[in-house]
This record gives sequence, structure tokens and C-alpha cells, in this order.
Amino acid sequence: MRRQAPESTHAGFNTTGTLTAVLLYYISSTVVILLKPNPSSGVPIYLQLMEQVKHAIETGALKPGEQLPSIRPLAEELVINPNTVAKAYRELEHEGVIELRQGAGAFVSAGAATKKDAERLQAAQGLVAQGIERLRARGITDEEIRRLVEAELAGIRMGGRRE
Amino acid sequence: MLWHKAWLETRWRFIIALLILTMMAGSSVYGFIATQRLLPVLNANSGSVTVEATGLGEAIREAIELQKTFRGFVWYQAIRQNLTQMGVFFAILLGCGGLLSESTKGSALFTLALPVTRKRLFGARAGTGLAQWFAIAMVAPLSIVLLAPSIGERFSIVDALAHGLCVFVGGAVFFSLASFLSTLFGDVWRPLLIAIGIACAIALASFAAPQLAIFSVMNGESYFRYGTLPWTGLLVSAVLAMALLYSAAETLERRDF
Amino acid sequence: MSDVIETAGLWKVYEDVEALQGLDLRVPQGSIFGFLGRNGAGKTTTIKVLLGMARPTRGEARVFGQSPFDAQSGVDIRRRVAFVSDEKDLYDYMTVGEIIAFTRSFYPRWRNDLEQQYLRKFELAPGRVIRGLSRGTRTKVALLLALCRGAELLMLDEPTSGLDPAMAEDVLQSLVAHVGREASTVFFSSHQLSEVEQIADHVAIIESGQTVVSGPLDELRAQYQRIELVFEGDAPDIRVHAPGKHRVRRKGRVLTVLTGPPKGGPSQVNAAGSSHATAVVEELRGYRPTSIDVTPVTLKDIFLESVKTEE
Repeated sequence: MRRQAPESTHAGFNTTGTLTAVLLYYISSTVVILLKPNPSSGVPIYLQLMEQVKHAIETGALKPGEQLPSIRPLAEELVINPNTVAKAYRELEHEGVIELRQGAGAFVSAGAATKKDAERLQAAQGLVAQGIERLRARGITDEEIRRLVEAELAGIRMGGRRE
Repeated sequence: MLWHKAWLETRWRFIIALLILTMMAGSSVYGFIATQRLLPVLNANSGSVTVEATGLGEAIREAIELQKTFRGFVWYQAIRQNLTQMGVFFAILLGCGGLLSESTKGSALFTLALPVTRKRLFGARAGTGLAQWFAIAMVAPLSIVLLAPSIGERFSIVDALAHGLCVFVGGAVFFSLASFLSTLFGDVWRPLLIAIGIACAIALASFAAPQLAIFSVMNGESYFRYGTLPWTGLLVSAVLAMALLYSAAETLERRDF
Repeated sequence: MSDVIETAGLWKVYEDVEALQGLDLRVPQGSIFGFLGRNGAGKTTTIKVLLGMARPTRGEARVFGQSPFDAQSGVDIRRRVAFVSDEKDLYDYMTVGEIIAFTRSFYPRWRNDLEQQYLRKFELAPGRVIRGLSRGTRTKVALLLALCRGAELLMLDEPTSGLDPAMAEDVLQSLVAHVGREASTVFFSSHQLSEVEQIADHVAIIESGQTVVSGPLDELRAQYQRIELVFEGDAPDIRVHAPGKHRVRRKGRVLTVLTGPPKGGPSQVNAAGSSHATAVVEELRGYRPTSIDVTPVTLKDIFLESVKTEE
């Protein structure tokens, strides 16, 4: 069965209605699309940025060794606080996803996402797609599915019972 | 640039005051001709009119006497009436306004956020106003000097300067009063009307109490009659004006915006 | 780096109005600080006191570690601060070019390069008289005058009020660019909570002249949670015992709990506060609801919770 590209389920992104906010960065030969974070979603902006960068790496839009946009220009383009961008980059560095090189900028770590990771994630995506199809077949709406996933991730068991 | 700003805020007022007072003073020169024609008529009739030696009667008789000469006429009409009486009004007008009235227009906060002390803000405004008043006080009498020859008369420059100085110092008291009131009230009308009220009150009171002879200082009476400038009066006026300006600056300093 | 702005127990009484009643505030250097509160809560008064426009009745206020009310240090402070008022009133009778020249004369660190840049970017014609300008254009002039001063601290009272969304975004973008390039601090009050969330990294919420909440925005958000529980029968009347301030609403089978940091505790937010939220969730699980939903809380929720009067 042909899989459709799933809608982004990353919490806080408003993929719809942000066509005007899609920004294209041309840095050497890299084209990185970064969406404007949603300030009112309740999810901290730095987390949204981190998710975007990780997602870009996972899908291969950003490859290991490639340079990320500099903090200041990125903050100006997205109209967010430069400290927030700096925080996101620092956290990403802490997680080993990127490297901050003094004077040169931020670069995707060599070990950030290998082809194997990409494949692993593609397989995982297949599992997610199957699960979603099954839930939909039971009449559960997409909104409910999203909340179930979030609640599950937040470590709360449904119905107060342990499974 | 504070002085430039004060100038921009007061220039029309200044120009109007300058024109009006200069024109009044200058045109009084031509009034002399009409008076000259009237005098023979008065002389002819004065014999049959018994003028009583009351205050008012004295004043009328003196008025007629004075206006027989050009110098006397100029003093009576131009200096005493126009420059002093009308002059007080314009001195008050020049003194109104300032930072407080800016707050009704809203730009006060912009001004107050500038890296200058309130004293400097006040100083620029007061300084500009006084300079304007000085110009008016000097130019008006000097215009008489310029115009007198056109009717065949002469008015000496020394006289003009002396009277100009008296008008300036005397008027400065009312300017400072208006300035001070403007630091108490932010609206346009209250400082103006209160200062005018005080001026009128002084004018009336000076009949009873000749010590309040501010107007006599302003019109340089002792210079006209006896050739000496009213030094004491000028000094007291100057001190009074400065005290009022100082109070204004202090009031502004303490004010909450 | 020490705090750029600091107040302690600041009181300001105007005749019979108590505008500030013991306000505590700390604005770190280099931050973009959002100052929130209802109308009349004391935002503009605070800014006026910090700039030396009004004298405090009691308490301390310091900018760059100095007092704004001393004549000399007040001038020093204002030389390093750029202020834009709520009404953005300027001298009506001057032209754009004249007011720029006027303002420039007071600031030795005026940036001519920024002046040219913003004249272009904001599309301002120097010959136009300020009286005839629209509110949006006047805001841009006021902003140019503020950004070109070489100031270390920008204080803005409702910078985007009355502006359409595109212009508002322009303003925010200029602020963000300024902070990035000039290493300055921005302190602004606003009613536009989404804007504050967008660019601020610290916030303070004031109500009735007092600070009710203040600290880094991310840590603040971690302290609040909305938890929705659904029960099979009617929702029970729950009292939450875990520490923290909780607002519980019942409607039929649904129970909504909004948790926040302990009331009366220090209004300073810190990382430790997030543990309160987890404790509440644990406690609620014990009531055996059929479903529990945890949804993120926006700044608007936090604001409304903090300033609502006790029911």
C-alpha cells in the first residue's frame, strides 16, 4: 500500500498557513527550510527549533558536516530572540547532534545521523503509519490519535491503570 | 538644540508680538500730528473750562501738557500706554507654555527622556523667551527713532535705549511670573489669565500703594521727568524676576510626570 | 553581568492612587524582557520612575546600578537609554529630518550608519512634517530615534500597539536584530502576549503595582500545566494537595486542573519549579479517571491565571 507522506506531527508547528513564513536559506549548496516557530503553542521555541533541526537531519535535508545558519541571521529572519537560537544550538551540541566551532559556526555532527539511522527511522515511520491506519479504522480521529501519542509519551497510562 | 526647539515653539508668538508692539509704537508718531492740530482748539477753550485740582483733573491737565511736545507725546502714548500696558500682556504671553504644556500634547515624555537636566530644559525655554522680550523691548522704541524724522521730529537713540531697558526689566517680571505659573498649571489658559489678573490687581493697587510702582519703573517715568534711570526699581524688578524664574525651575524639578 | 534594571519594594503613590505597591523587578543584561500586566497595573508608572520622570514614594530603583533621580546620574542613565512612549508622541511641528538632527545632538554615540539603514528600511522621507504622519509611520520614526542612539537599554511602552500585523512584525524584527548586533537589553511592555512569547526570554507580570510572576520564560512555562480528566460518572470534587496553586473546574464528567507554582512562595521562577507539576499529575492519577490529557500552557493562560482576582 502506498504510504502518503505524513503531515508533520511535531508539536507546535503550524504547517498550514505558514506558506508566507517559509524561508529558504542558501548556505553554500545547502538548502534548509526552517518554518517560523509558533510562539503560542505552549511549546518553548527553542524546543521547536531543535526538533526542526533534528527532523532536517533525519530526512537528509541537512547532512553531516553541513553548516547551519548563523545565530544572528537566523534570529532576524525568524523574528525570535537570538538567545533562544543560541540555547537551541547549545542543547543540540550537548546532545551531540551538532558541533559549534569557534569563529566558524554551527555544523551538523559527523555522527549525527548516518544512513543507517535514516533507514531505521524510515522503518519506524512505517510502523507509525500502520498504527495510525488501524486506529483510524476504529473511528479514532487524527486529533485523538495525536493526543494519545502525547499522553503516552508523557508517561501517563490511560485509565489510570497499568498495562 | 534645546534653544532651537524653544525658538520653533515660540517663534510665531514672538513675531506677532514684535510686529504689533513695534507698529503701535511707530504709528504713535503719526498720532502726534493729529494731536498738534487739536491743541490750538484746546488752548482756545481752556480758559473757559475750570479744571479742578482733583486727581483725575490733574491727570487730564498733565496729559494735555505732556502731549504738547513730541518727547512728551512719545512718552505718554508710546511708552506709557503701548509699551507698558500692552507690553505687559505680551510679556506674559511670551512667558507661557513650556514643558508642562508639552505634557498635554504628549511630547513631554520624549523631552524628559533626553539626557538633560530639567534645569537646562527650563533654562533654554526661559532664555529664549527673555531674549525675545529683550528684542521687542528694544526694537519698538528704536522704531520711533527711525520714524520721527518723517514728521520732522527727533527722538534720541539714548532715550530709546533707556526706555527700552526699563520696559525690558519691568516686563521681565511679568514674563517670569507667567513662566512660574506655567510650571504649576499645564493648560494654556490658567497661567495667562492668572498673570493678567495679577497685573491688573497691581495696577489698581498702585493707586493706593505707590510702593508697587512696577509700572512706573517699566515706563521709565523718572528717566523721562528727571533724566535718571530708576535704578532701585530696576534692581528690585531684576531680583524679583530672577526669584520667580528660580522658583519655576525648582517647581519643575520636583514635578512628577 | 549585573542586572540592568533593579527595583526593590518600589512604591509610587499619586495623590490618592497607589500606582506601585512594593514592586520588585530584576532585568538581566542582554535579555529581551517582556513586562506584562493589565491596564492600570503600573507598567507605565514603572517606566517613568526608572527614567526619572516621577519620584518614588518609597523603595529603591536602579538603572545601570545608579539612581535615576539624582540630577547627574539621571542624565548619565538617560544618555545610555532609549525610550519610546506608548503614544509615540513627538514634536508635531518638526519634520522627520529635523527631529533626527535634534535628537542626534544629544547622543555622542549616535550611529549614522544605522540612521541611514533605518531611513531606507522604514521608508521615511526626511522632509515630511510629523503632524501629518500616520500612527505606523510615527512609530517607525520613534523607533529610528531610539535605535540610532547607541543605547545599551531600550525601554518601550507598547511598541506595536495600533500597528497592523506586518508593521508589528517589522518592529519586532528590528528589535531582535538590534539585540543581536548591538548587545543591548530590551525592556518592553505589551498586551500582545504572542509577541512577547515570540521574542522575550524573560517576563514579569505585574498586578496592582506588584510583581506576581517573574523569571525566564522557559522556566516559567515548565511550572504550569493544564490537565484534563474525564470520569465515567460526574467528576468528583477534588482538592489537590500537592504543593502549588491549583485551579480546579468541574463541568459534568470533565475536570480541568490548571496547576501553577505555590502561592505566596517566591515569585522568582527557577528550574526546580517544574517538579511541582509532576507531583500534581501523580496525585490526580489516583482518582482513576477514564482519561488524562496534559496540554501545554500558553503565556496567555499563565497571564490570565496570575492576574485574575481570587474567586
